[in-house]
Amino acid sequence: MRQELEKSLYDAKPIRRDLIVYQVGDLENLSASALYTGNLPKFSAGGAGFELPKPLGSISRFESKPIEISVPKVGMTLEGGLNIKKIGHNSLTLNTDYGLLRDLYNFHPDGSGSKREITLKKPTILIDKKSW
Amino acid sequence: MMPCQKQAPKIKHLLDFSNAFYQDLHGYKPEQTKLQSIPEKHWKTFCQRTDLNSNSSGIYLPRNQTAIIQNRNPLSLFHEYFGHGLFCEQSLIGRKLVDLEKKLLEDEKQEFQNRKFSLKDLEKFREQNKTFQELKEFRKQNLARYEIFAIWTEYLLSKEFSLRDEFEMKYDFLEKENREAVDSVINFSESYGDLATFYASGLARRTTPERVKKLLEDVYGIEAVNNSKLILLTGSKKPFSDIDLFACSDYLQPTKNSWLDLAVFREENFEERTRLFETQVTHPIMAGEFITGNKNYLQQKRIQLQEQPITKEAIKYNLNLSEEQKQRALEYPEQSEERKTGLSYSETYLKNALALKQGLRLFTKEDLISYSQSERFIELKGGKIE
Ligand SMILES: [Zn+2]
Repeated sequence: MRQELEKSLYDAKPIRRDLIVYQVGDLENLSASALYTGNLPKFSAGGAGFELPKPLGSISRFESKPIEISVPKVGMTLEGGLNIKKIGHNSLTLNTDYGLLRDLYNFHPDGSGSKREITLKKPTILIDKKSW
Repeated sequence: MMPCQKQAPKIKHLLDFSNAFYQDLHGYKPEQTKLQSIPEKHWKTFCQRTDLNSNSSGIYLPRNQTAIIQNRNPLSLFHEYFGHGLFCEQSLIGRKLVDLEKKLLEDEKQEFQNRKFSLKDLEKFREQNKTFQELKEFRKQNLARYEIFAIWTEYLLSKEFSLRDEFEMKYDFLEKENREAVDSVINFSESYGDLATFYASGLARRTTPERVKKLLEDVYGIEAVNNSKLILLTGSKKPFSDIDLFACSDYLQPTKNSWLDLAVFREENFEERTRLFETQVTHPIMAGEFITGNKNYLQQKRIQLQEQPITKEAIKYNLNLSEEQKQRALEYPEQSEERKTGLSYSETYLKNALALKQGLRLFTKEDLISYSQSERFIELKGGKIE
């Protein structure tokens, strides 16, 4: 019967599902949890399972003082927990924590070296273009 | 196994190149995953005979860890073989799906060993089988993770083979929510690199100093890593534990999540704590594995810890820390993680203070643990220090 099944594998004629007879060896191929592509179910919003860094608890093993805004360098931590990710030509890319993808900011200080306050969702930081 | 289409050279090239890419990035590649390619004209019949949904362009079967692709479609190869295949080999939730399927297979073999059966018989058997119920629930819970990972894999490899347009076309139909879920992972990988994305997805970590350096450069930027005075690897290096790192750096930000635990001490602060024999720095200095920074500086600090005098200040400092941690820990509810962690820190500081008092330099946590089981420690702990 198994041989018949294999023989009929490439036979284009459809067979009624309930008429196919299987035997124990066929079980290897009868997966109960196949993953299909092309007809995806709707993912639940939080179901991506992408793990973001947890906020650090108050029992902390370190006391890192935030660095004052002076000459920005990549990796520098600014007030408000912002971290400099990239320094471009006249622009900075900041994020609050390297894993929080939604909190990535880009900004460009404008004008000729004037101080400018930039309000991000929460923290407000002061950018002094003269300083960099 | 069903008769398998002989693989065309093109597929072989895709496989060879991708395998090398994975081996280089991770230190592993798919090993147990089998690949089957079915000609398009036979796809429907094939699916019907194996009771699979033929609307799909590719299928992965956890039961026998087989990736089945239509024709020699590269994107399907990436999705099924390198996406689902690798995930089921190298992540815990992938492995669990395979384990549950194999367990169910054993139950089914028992049931049907001496008789022929129809799909209806099989369905009936599964409905009352506990493993099947568990499998169904587990698959449902984790489906998004399996699929997002496989789609992101397609994105990743399609770049290597200049197939981005095909990728965009294939997933043009995605519904808003799915699109957003996929985009968030793609954005993550663009910001923090491929390795970080694999690790955040739960893939096994073969931790080596070179790989960790690359990971940190992707996440924090090359400049921040290069400017750091010292970065050390401190943890167990188990594939499914977080990567424990220690840095003496003015350029890195500390972080803690399920796969990365980076403790950072600012340079000045590090010096101070080294002088005071604080375990949080002595442990990594003595037991850590060098990743990057100034190797001579590390050597200097090791010598300093062996030779510098044990001062009263250092003993007192560790005692105070112990007391402080204890007080803070007790602000948290009993049984809470915070309280447990705080108390264990407090205990470590106390042990260190007592050891220093006796003139003992115990730099690592292991040393302190074996010391706390010694008689001298118990004697001291019962009495007064000063
Ligand atoms: Zn899939």
